[in-house]
Formats: sequence, C-alpha cells, structure tokens
Amino acid sequence: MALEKLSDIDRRYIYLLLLVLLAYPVLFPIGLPIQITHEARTIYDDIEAIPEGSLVVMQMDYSAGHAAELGPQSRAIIQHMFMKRLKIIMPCFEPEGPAQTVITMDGMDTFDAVYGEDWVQLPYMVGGESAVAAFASNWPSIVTTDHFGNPLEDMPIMKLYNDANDVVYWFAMGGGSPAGGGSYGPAITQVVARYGTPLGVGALAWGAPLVYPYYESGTIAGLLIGQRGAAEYELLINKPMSAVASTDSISISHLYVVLLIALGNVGYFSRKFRGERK
Amino acid sequence: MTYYQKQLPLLITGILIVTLIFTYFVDIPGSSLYTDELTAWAALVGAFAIALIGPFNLIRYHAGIISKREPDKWLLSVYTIAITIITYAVGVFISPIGASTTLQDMYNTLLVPCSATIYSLTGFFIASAAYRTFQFRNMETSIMLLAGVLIMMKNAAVGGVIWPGFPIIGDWIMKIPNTGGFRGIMLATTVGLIAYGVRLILGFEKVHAGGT
Repeated sequence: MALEKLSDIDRRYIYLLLLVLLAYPVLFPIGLPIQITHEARTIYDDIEAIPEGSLVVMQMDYSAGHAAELGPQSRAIIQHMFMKRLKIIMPCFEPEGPAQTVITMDGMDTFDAVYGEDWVQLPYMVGGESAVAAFASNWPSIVTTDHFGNPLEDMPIMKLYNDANDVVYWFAMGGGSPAGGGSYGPAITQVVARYGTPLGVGALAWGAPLVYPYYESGTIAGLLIGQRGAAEYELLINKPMSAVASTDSISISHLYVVLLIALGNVGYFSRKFRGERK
Repeated sequence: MTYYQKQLPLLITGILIVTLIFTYFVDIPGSSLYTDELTAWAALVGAFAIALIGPFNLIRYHAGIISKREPDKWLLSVYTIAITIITYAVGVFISPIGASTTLQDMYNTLLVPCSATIYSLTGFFIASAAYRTFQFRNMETSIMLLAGVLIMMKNAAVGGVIWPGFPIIGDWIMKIPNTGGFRGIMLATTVGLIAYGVRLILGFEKVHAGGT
C-alpha cells in the first residue's frame, strides 16, 4: 500500500525539494569533478592554434531565456579569444543579440584590447539567412555603424574584413534548432558551405541532438552543449566562472529526476501487481 | 486578378530564384555584385516587415480583441499594446541609437528576469512530468525512458563519477541512433524544401503572390 503511494506524490513537494536541491550546491559548493568532452576540447584546440592577431567572428544570437546556458558559453569563448589576442567581430542576427552582447562584455577581461581595432560589437541585422549571407559576402551592404552608432568604415578591424574568406574561425551561439536567422543553421549554409570557414557552435542542452549530426559529419568543427559545455570551457581556459559554480546544481537536479522516475516506476508496478492479483 | 497582380510576381520570383541558385554554385566574375545587392534587398524587406508591418499587425490583432471585450483576453491585449508602444517610443524618440542605455536598462530589469524565470520554470515541470510519465508501460516508453536516463547521466558531471560507463553509453546514443534518426529527418525536410523551391520557380506556389 505504501509503495503505491510512491507514484502519487504531490507535485508541490516535488517542486520544493527540487528548489532546495538546486539552491544548496550554489550556497555550499560540493566540487564534483567535471570531465572535459571531446566536443569542447576540439573548440579549445582550434582557437588555441589560431595565430595572434587573426580575425574571428563571434555570432551572438541568443535571447534572455537562453542566457542561462549560452551566456556562460559566450563569456568563456570570448574570454579565450581575448586571451589569444584575436580580433573579434560580433554580429547579431537575433533581436536580443546586441543586448546580450552588452551583458556578456560587462566585466570581461579584454587584455587591453582596443575597441574598433581589436574588437567590435555590431547591431542587430534583420533578414535571417539573407542577412547572414550579405554579412558574409559584402558587409557594407547590410551594416554601416556599430551597435553604438559609430561608422564602421573608419574602424581598423573592419578594414581587415572583406568577406568570410578573411575569417579564420567563426563561432555561432544560438538556440536549439538550426532553423531561423538567429541560429547556427544560416552560418552552416552561408559560411561553411560557401567559404569553408571552420565553425564552432554553442547550443542549448535540449538542442544538442539537433546539432550533433553536423558535428559527427565534420560540417561544424566544435560544439559546446549547455551549461556543462560552458563549465568545461571555463576549466579549459583555467578561468572558473558561473558555469563551474552551477555544475553541482545541475548534477544534483539530474540525479533527483532519475530518482523521481525510479519512485514513479516502483509505484506504478506496485499498483499494477496489486491489480493483477485482484 | 490582373496579369500584374498574378503572373508578374510569380515570374519575378522564378527568375530571382534561378539566378541566385546559379550564382551560388557557379562563380561568374562580377555576379557577386548583383547577388550581394539582392541579398541586401532581402534583408531590407525583412527589416520593413519586422519594424513596420509586424507592430501594425500585432496592434490590429489585439485591438480587435479589446473592441470585442473577449473574456480573459482583452486586459492582456491592453498590456501587450501598451508595452509595444512604450518600447517603440523609447527606441524611436528617446534614444534612437542602438546602444540606448534606456533600452538596455529596460531589457536588463524587465525582460531578462521575466524570460529567465519562465524558462527556468520549465525545469520544475519537466521534473514533475518525468516522474508521472516515464514508466515502463510498453516497449516504446521503456526505450525512451532508458535513453532519457542515460543521456541525463551523460550530461550531468556526476554521471561519470558514479559509473564511467554512463558517458560512453550516452555518447554512443548521441552518435549512432540520434545522429541516424536526425539525419533521416533533415534529409527528408531538405528534399521537401527543394520540392517547394521547384514549385516556386515553376509558379505552382502562389501564396506569396496572394494566391491560395
């Protein structure tokens, strides 16, 4: 009888316990070990191999809802690019991209990089895949000022960029699905397929199954998955930040869900066994 | 409908698609200027649609709900229109440059916490839903349950600590069954898109030109 009740726990208790389990490791870190996956390692090795002063693109396409996972990812990748003293262009093809870029760059250690010379933040470029295509082939046709209204033609960094052939590495942050302008899909079709530029992708945890086929086929060079990917990258660049701090919470919450599934099944089979005996 | 309303848009669509496809695959000297111009036009049309037609349609739709006083809806529609107008006004009149601190402050203090809260709440629903539905009821649900649990243990850093086999099995699921399944879906979708493109070129697809 008691076992049957295991499949009928009030959802409010489930929520409350989850809240406690998420909060506890944030307040009192456990320090569970994080294994580095080959997907994250590939990106790190690729960026590490880029010569100093090379031009890279960091496509900042994610919204506030996805910032919990993609924010730490972009922070870690950009931090690595600054550490390597690369020249970074940050275009946005998602309406919330520029605002998220401002948040990401707030407090970033730029290693004395000069704005306009070593990095630049571009505004939202509307048009989805057409905008990505136009930016990759002839940027002055679609954007003339940076996010702050300064003319781009005067900036030294933009003089290095004619088309995607000039870019050594392209990294696209963006959601879960490859469809839509603010995602990695247009970067695959308009940058990788057309110019052969290596592409790294930062994806949400739930979006990993969608992007994995591109990684397995070699279409994309590297892949960061969810907050776990961000934590791995923070460890790779030896600069633990928010993602490493929240990894314990994610681990504990995953274990909790597995435990809930087990309890639900115990209750289900107990109920079923009793029904069969009757 | 006259020729200019019906046939001409289809003809323009067909010619543009064929030209763009041709210049994408064949490198003709000088053609990039033409295609660059066309893709920039597409972006401009998109900007026009999002910045002007989008808000107009949104306000028209919600104004209809308000005028009919639809129960449980009209107050939310008032709220939606008000927020749209305020955001628009701040962006256009108060600080028109993209880096507006007012817009960024509005974004940081309103949209970011609200979006993050709503997205985070799904985690609670998923925990409850997994508890109630992930059961060994039949073969299909059993496979889904096992795959789900193994992927969860792969994604959680603690999975590899509990048992080193979790990341290996999780990787195998992602690389083999998942990749195979999604490749099939993607190829089918792409073939469908090609068929749709051919219909556009030949003028059978008329929705964008006002047809049915």
